[in-house]
Amino acid sequence: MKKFAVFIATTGGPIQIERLTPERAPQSMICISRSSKILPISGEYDDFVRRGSGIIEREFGPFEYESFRADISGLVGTGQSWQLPFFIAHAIDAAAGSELVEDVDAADYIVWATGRVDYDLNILDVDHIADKIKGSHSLFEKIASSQSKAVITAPTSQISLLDEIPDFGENFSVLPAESGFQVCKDLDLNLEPKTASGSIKNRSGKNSRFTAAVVAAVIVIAWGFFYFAPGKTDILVSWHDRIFPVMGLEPKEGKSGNPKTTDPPKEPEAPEGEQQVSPTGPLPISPEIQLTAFKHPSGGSCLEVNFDAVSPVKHILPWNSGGKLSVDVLDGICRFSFSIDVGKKGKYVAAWIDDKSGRFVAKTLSPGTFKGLKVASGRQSWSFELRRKKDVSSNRHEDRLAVLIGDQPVLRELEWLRKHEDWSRAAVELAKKNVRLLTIEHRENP
Amino acid sequence: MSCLTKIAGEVLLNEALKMITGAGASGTLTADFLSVAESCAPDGSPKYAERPVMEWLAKVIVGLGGGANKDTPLFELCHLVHAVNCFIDKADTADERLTFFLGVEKASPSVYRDWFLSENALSGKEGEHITAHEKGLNLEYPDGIFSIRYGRIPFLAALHEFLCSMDQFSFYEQFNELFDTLSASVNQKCDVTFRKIQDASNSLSSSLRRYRRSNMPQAQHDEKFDKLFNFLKERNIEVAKAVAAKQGKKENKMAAERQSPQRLDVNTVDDGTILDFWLTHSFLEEFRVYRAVFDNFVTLIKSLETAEVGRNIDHASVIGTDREKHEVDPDDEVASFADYGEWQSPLEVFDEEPVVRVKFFKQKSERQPIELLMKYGPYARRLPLAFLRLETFGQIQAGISNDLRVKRSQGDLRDRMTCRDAATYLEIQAQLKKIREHVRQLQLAALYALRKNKHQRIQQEGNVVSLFDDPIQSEFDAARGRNFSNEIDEEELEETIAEAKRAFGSFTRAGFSEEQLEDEGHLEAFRIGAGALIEVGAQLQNFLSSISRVVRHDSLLEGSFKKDQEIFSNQFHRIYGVSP
Amino acid sequence: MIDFKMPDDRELERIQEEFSKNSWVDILTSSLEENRRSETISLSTLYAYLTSYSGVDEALELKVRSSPHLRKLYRKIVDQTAAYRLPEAMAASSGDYPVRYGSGCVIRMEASRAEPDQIYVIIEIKGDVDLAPTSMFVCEEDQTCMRFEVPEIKDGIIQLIFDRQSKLVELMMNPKTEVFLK
Repeated sequence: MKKFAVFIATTGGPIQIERLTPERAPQSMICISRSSKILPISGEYDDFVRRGSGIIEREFGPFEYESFRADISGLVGTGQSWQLPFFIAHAIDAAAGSELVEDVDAADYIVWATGRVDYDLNILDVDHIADKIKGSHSLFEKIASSQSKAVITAPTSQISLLDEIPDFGENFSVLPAESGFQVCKDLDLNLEPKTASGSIKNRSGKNSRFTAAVVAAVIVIAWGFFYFAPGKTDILVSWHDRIFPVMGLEPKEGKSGNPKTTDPPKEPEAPEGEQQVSPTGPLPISPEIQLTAFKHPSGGSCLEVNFDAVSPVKHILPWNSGGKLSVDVLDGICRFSFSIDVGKKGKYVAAWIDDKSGRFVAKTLSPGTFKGLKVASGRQSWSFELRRKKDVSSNRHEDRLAVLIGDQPVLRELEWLRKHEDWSRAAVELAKKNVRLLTIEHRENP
Repeated sequence: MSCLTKIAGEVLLNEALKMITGAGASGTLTADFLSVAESCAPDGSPKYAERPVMEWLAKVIVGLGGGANKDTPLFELCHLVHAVNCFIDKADTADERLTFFLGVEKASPSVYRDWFLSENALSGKEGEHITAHEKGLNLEYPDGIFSIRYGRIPFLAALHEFLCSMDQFSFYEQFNELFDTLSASVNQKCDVTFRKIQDASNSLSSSLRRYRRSNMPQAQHDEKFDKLFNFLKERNIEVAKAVAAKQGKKENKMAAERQSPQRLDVNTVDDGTILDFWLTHSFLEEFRVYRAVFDNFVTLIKSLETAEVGRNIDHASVIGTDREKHEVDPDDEVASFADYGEWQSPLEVFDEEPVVRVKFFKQKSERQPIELLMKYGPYARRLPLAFLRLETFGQIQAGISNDLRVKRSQGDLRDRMTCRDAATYLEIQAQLKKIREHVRQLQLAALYALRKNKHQRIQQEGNVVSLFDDPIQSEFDAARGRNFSNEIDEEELEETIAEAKRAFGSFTRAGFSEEQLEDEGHLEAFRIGAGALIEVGAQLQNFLSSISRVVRHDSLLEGSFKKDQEIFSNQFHRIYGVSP
Repeated sequence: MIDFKMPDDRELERIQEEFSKNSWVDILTSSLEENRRSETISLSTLYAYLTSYSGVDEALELKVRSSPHLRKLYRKIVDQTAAYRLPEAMAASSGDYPVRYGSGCVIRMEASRAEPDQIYVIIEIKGDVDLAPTSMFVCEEDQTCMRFEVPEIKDGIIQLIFDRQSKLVELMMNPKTEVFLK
């Protein structure tokens, strides 16, 4: 059992996350060292844990109990740099073969961390790293004289600031943190399903759940880049919620992996700058779009796939007639990969999931490429995770994916789009700036 | 331990005892009174204005307020409670009534006016037996009518709070049940009569009397009274003896005269009386401070007046109101009440809205020097030298007390006791003259402000009004509620108007701009302030005149000061055990 | 100079009475000038304290507890101005801890798994959260009430944690106590 002691770096000195305990109370709280003194950041911690607003339950749950009580050794002030250490602590708690310990002397690894973690698990910059390092000198010295190994982690973009830490020898390692997944991987956390400190139910990724979820889902891909008139957000692909055999059915693939078509009607190419009204409903597809499903291998789980513990099995989804992509095999699918060939010239591409159900996560999203600030050329891929639980609530929300493609950086347009619900109208506006909008909607087929 | 230290220690201990026991006053009474005074608005300012509300409350509590009938305030309170009950008109009347009286953060007339007028609109009380209008409430009973102005309500609210709080809230339930009976009946018809209100106020009065008996033992002050009065009597005998001796009357005849019922029946309290009393009684703790002696004699005189003995003091004008009919009452003015023509400082008006908007007086150089004079009013005028002694040597003695409290060195004490730094009578006189001139300028400025607005209104309204119909003086008299016109010389009038304009323009302080005169509220400030300024001016003039009557020449005044300086210096040394 | 007629005995008695009253007025008004503090609490002060969000004033609470009349008044004002009232708990509540129900509000308790000697007090507001309470008053049968500040509401829930030995838990464990939220 690997023992970890995790410290939150603060300007007032390092604060240890001593213990995480699932609780029957509705809200997660942070208390000081087993006392009833609650920290003011408890509200934010609750948001951080809770599904929908946060990432802990989404990543490591579902949990048997409603919330967590975290006991830490001292006060942590305002700000959000506690997020990365807490993410790591929860990952340790969830991972098999590792545990969070309070006794620092007994720890194999001592993690010192600072960083914000966004909803997509990107690790973001924080302030006052130099002061935090200064405040932690005694801890570093203590570690240096012990048998434990120290892992010092901070956002990748700020990693140079960690040069301020004196060289304490080979037991000290610096871990640039780019994403939550990467950190967990680099910490060698085995995120197999396990019964952690609160029994974690149904984390084995039972097929039936995913199947039921997928059966209930219809993904419609809209593409307006090459064939559709500017100003139209159209559905590219949809598949029906039919139930397919679990095993054995392989998707029909074209020679080069391109989808097969059945004479889709071809729309005349719109003259430059001229609006063209496209018919509603599914439209001819383009070989430039590819949808790949990532399944877990038999006996495995989506958790393992998403945390790169096992290699996924890839299935490129075939295209159906009428311009529809249909999924023959949906069972065991953990995530989808959407890729697009933007051509040799290169385009600026931004991708965003309008995640209302709280069940999507973006993975392998390169911040630079898919935030619309860098030129992407050739085929670029981007994957997202399918929700694990079937959402049958009456007020279930629709998740959507938007991809913006332009000749100029499209970050600003992305930010603008985030504030607009009506993507059809948004597409009209974006088209005026020569920005194309592709959308994927995840909904139940009526 | 040196004598100084011992006496200083005694002084401090006595001060501490005073704090605990209130110099022998009932701890309960003072605590109950102070608890009402300590009620604060969220910004920390007092909920009830110290002057005039709390001062009025003090009088009501001890049984001095209320005019001819000291229970009148209780009677008014019952009417107010009835009005509030009717306007609330809900099942939980008692709770809502509590909110009315306690939920208000600052007890000001406008707050209560807004409450009644909004409740009026909501509940449609028009035409019923209680109506709320802009100035106050009208209550019509089957057997009588009553009115309450909004300006009165802060006083009544303070009284309500005191009654409910007194004696550790032991009367609270009883009074609440009593107030509950002053509600409209279920069918909305008013079955509360004038008689019922009177009965309720009698019940309150009875409880208040019981409270007084328990917490205001008269005997506490009898000893003090006896000392003062006996001193006066004996002094009178001495004076009579001296007069008789001059007149050559025989001792036995004088004795006979003393014993007859028609004995020398006129006593005098003069400047010398107060000084002599202090000199002979300052070994007693309660008479150690000259100011306390002065205050006690003023209290004695007030008491004599109240008992209608030897009323030959001019009535002082009362600013604000003297009775409801004569008040100058803008909407937001908290009315002040004086009974039996009792003197009230005209300066209090300048602290209230709307007058406070205009900076009539600078605090340190213009107001502070006349604060005491305005406080004592006619008493200062009748006892000018005693007052001058208070002004100058009273301050010295206050400084000595403070020196003892903070344990200054003997050297500092001795230095202060020489009274070297005491303001001379000539200096005080000069300062008062200067302020008198300032007050005159203010009066002119106020005249200009009021006149300008009137002319503007005339121009707007298109009326032609002869100057002679409304001479200058009546502007002030109108503000005071008295309207009489005097003949006035036209040329003099023109000159005065020009002077008034110059005076207004000479003030660069807050409130003296032409633009502000467009605002009705601002003009109201000048109207009320004008009345107060007349009183202040009159008081100053009267006092200065009385000094001149007593000491006809400045050199004599200076001589008088030097003599007093020595007397006080010696006495301070004697009292505080410090050798010169 | 002021002249006055020497009074007879009856008049003298009257003057003495007036002198006493005037002296009392002087004492009371001079107490204002001396900025002395009262030993007791005014009704307005108590009312403002109970209807404001100023936090717990221990000194005032102590004064209230020492006076039966003040305790009664305190409770009366709390009852009158409360946004939520939760009367005595159900005697036969399930679990170890009484659950209290009020209109639009439920208060329950849960022991902490991490520290069994600590108890969560969970207030669920079901109605209009514009009336989100900031203070909780727990009143015993003898009218003694204690005030506790509560943290900000979040998604309709206010959650506190107390030691099992704390006064609040002791009061809440007694099904006869009443709880008011405002």
